[in-house]
Amino acid sequence: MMWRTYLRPTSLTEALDLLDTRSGQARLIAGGTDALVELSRGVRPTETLIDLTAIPNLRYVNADGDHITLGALATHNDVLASAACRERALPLAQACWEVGAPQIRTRATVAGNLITASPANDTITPLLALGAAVTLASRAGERTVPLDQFYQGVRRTVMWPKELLREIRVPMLRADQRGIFLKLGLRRAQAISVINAACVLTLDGATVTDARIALGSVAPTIIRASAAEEYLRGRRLDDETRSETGRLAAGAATPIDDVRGAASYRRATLGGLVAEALRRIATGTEAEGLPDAPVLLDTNPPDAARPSAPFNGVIETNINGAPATWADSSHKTLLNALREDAGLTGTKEGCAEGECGACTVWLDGAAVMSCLVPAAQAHGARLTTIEGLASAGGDELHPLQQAFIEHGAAQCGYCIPGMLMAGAKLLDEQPHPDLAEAQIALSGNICRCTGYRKILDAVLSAGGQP
Amino acid sequence: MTTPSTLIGASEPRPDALGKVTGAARYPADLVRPDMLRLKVVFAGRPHARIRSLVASAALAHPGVVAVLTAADVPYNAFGLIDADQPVLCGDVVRFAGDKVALVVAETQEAAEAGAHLVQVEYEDLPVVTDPRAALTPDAPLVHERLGSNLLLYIPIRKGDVARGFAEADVILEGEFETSWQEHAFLQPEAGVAWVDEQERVIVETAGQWLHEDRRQLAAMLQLPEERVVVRYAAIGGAFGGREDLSIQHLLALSAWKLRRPVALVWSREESIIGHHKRHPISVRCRWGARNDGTITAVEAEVIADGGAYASTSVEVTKVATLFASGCYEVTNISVDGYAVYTNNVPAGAFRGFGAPQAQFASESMVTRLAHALDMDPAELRRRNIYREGSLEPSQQPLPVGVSALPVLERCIEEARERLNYGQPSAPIADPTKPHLRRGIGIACGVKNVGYSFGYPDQATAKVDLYGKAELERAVVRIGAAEVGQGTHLALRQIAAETLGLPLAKVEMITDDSDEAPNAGSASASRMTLMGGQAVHRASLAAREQWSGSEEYAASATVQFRPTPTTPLDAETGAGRPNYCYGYAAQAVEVEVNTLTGQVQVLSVISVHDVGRAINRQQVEGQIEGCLAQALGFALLENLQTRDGRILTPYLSTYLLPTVLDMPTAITPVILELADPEGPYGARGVAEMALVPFAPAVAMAIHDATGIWLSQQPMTPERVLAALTAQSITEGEHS
Repeated sequence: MMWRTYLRPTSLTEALDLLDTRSGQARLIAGGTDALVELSRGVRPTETLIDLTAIPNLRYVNADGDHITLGALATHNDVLASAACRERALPLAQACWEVGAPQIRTRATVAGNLITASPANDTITPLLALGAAVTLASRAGERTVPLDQFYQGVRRTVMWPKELLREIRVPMLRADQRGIFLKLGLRRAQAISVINAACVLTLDGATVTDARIALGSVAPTIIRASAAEEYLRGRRLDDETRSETGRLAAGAATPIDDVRGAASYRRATLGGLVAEALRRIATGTEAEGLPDAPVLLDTNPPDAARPSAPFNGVIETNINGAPATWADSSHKTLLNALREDAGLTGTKEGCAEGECGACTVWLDGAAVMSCLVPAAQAHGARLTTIEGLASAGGDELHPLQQAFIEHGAAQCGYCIPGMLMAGAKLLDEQPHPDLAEAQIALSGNICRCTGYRKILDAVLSAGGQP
Repeated sequence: MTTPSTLIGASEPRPDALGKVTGAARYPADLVRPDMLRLKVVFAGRPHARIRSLVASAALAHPGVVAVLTAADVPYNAFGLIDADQPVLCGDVVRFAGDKVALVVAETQEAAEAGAHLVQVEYEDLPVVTDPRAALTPDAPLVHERLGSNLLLYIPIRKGDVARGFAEADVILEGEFETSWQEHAFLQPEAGVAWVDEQERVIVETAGQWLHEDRRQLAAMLQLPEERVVVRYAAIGGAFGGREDLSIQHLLALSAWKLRRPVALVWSREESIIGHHKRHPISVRCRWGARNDGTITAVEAEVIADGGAYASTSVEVTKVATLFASGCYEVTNISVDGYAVYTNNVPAGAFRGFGAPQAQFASESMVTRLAHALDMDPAELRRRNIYREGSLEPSQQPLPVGVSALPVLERCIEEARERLNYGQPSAPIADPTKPHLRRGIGIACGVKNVGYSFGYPDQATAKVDLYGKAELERAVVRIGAAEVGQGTHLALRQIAAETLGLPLAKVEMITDDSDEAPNAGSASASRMTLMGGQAVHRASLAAREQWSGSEEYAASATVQFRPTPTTPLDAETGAGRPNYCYGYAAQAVEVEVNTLTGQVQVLSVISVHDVGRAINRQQVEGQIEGCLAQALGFALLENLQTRDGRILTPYLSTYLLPTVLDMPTAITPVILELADPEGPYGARGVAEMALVPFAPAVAMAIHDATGIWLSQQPMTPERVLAALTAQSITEGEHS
């Protein structure tokens, strides 16, 4: 049992009151993608979780004037779905695109990523380069802290135990500004940064008038490369300048050895990464790789506010079209509740940390990894599991299930329920996906048997490709 | 309805697919019921220590805890596939971090976990040895004190006269290669349930690779006759060799037998990675000589395999690696010394390829380097030396008939020329705006035995019952063959249906119960289509024959198939007939190397295989494509890291597997059908072969792109960049 008490306030005031009375004894939870992994490993243990997701008006991405504001519940996918973010906060959108997989991005909040405060957390770097600030709320009131004063060390911030991060305020890139985020990971999806970098440049023609360069996973916190920034001012982005800026940036790093890479490797690649970021800006190709309509695996529009049913410990939910009540599941993950309390064992556990996708189900129209969802978040929600993918009664298979059979996509089959829930959600979102979209949609689902070829064939054929 | 005569080669859909796409298929963890006792293993968590004391009273006092089982509770406390040298529960000494010291049995998972934390074990740490070369020095700490040495196996191979071979050579090259552990990472972590039935039999339902071997080991542990143990397999979520050793089967059987209540155990991913064996790290030091005409004259090699703390299948894996130190080439003079060594690392054992990928990472890389030194096309050097019909193996005997290494290579070269422009001078930089991205092409060959080797008796038994009235109407085929995902139940069914002239739907398979189906041997060594297929084919023929000659409306035949016998390798020369069948493969790959980061992306793969006869073409492709993903992980990505014997990467977030985006979209499996004389309808095995040439093909492609040679697997970005940096320093010194 990772926690005992699960509280689900329905207003910000109620949440702040709970935080106040249980100061230091409770943890806030929203998407749960970091919190549940930490709790399962005994990191920052707690008896009580305070869930923010039933609070209305905290999930937003607004563009007003020269700022973009993100509510505490704004997810990585919400950023990706926002044209304003893609166009005017490109480094943030790129970082969100590089985090986890669609099933993680649809759950993980940007605020949560900031608070976890690992030096490898991808969204911190662009937000630091963009000059973002966070608004912290408590019963005593609110304060705004610039992000460059927010961090005190590895996984340590200036937040008080009674505070929550209510809003992130991001200055938009101006017409004379360009920005980019780049990341070096050990594989092409679902990779934690070995290093990352974000650059925001102000340009007068081809001359840099101001530069903000932030570096991730090279020090206890995300850092700015001040010497590199200083050097860049007044210069043009030619080859030599780019290399020298990279060299200076690398000089700011104090990396460590860990399982992702040696300090020496981080030092050796950092300069090149920064130089490449500058080359992309110089050539106007900084947005390369970020699609105009990113695959979200979420067909529930972000502004569809769910009515907040009060939660008293009994989970009232709807699974595959039928109502279900779980009286004693609020201390469990959704995966365990489905398997143990609903008897729906089609949803599989492969890693219990959101890495393999075998537990993918739909929660209110979004594909999620149920191992990282507290069961209580199913309260008042609609769930679809693999058992509900075929038409009622299972008489008629979903076209993707049929395609999996025809294409020989199932070998051992253990990953297949998760693959299908991701693939079928893609077909809901994009009925005729291309290969790149299919790859992104399945990038959070590991298969150890098939090499993915026949799975991709099945998805593309169900999407109408011959 | 399928016409029976077209069944061989037909891409029939898998009968298990419907359950797998609807979530109805039941895997071991899906069998757990609330009334079952739950088990939790107390792991040692330290690589080498003497157990001073183990106190269970606090755990037993915890509400819900029913029992704490320790070494004293195990009737015969040793198990193993070959040597029974591994304790079920350690009583005196722990030899690796994943050793088990106690088993907490409780009414709930929470109580079992809480109880496991309360088991108090006092240890006296012992000196740790984790480097196999160090383990062979005279003063090294002993992993098994009673053995007096850490040497688990020494096997020499002596063919011809290497001194003469090197004297004849115009070019001599030396090389050193290192491979590391690979984790099977089957998606379904170990799980199972067990109980004692009304006939006083222990029933274990789980996942594995060989019903009857699991049964043998469980019966030996419980000191029961084998009939008193029944092993059943649920749907199996991948295996790849990782379920060959017992991992939890014995824990389930022990606790069910002791407590006379149904029990369940489900491992987390972390427990799975800590708890089961891995692919062997193998180091190869070698010297190769060749004449200017391209004849390889001599191969000398030292092969050292880190077996970890227990024997597992290390002896066999090391023999395979030693045999393949000279690859798939006929070389007149060979001298290889193979060693398997005990250390305090995680035990190493079976993993798809079984020593062949490690050995041929070295041998294939050396062949390409020799070709470069001789200024010869690497494909041409291979062509001149590759195994042909009648070639003598390193063990001095002719290869089993059906040698297809050359046609496989020729087809690969042809495809590579056509699809990848192999052999054409390539543009050094594909995109002038990205000069740090460089492309290269590599080719390599591979050989791997099908079936058991070195005199280990191979057999598969099948029983076929026929029913009907005037006409034969249906058949029931019994064969204890594990369906680990590879599609064997379908292949065996197609063979039965074809042989009997029945539609597929009229053949029922009984396969998953050691009491109901005869022993077919393991689902490993790429053997089940050949071995199980022959047993089913011959039993079907015999039953059919009986049916024709009988007035009864029933017939039944049980046939045990045994292939041509193999022999052990001679202890001084390695002479012998090691195998009865080989699978041959050749691959061409194109990669893109990022010279700023060291990242390598595989863009394209051509994988050519002689499968003898494809029983189900779609499933054969599936085996090749899936094996390629594991090969890509092995070559580039999968990096099991340890420190002092402890695994630092026990999660899927730290032990990285290839995602869909890491796999090339251009994969061309090429299936040749050059019938094997041993196989049913000519079929031979295919499941492991794609893992053999891949890593050296990638190494050659990286060299083609950048000029550097990687000799350490996995070829991580960090290692690639280090080699690039060393190269630029060297070039700087020379300019």
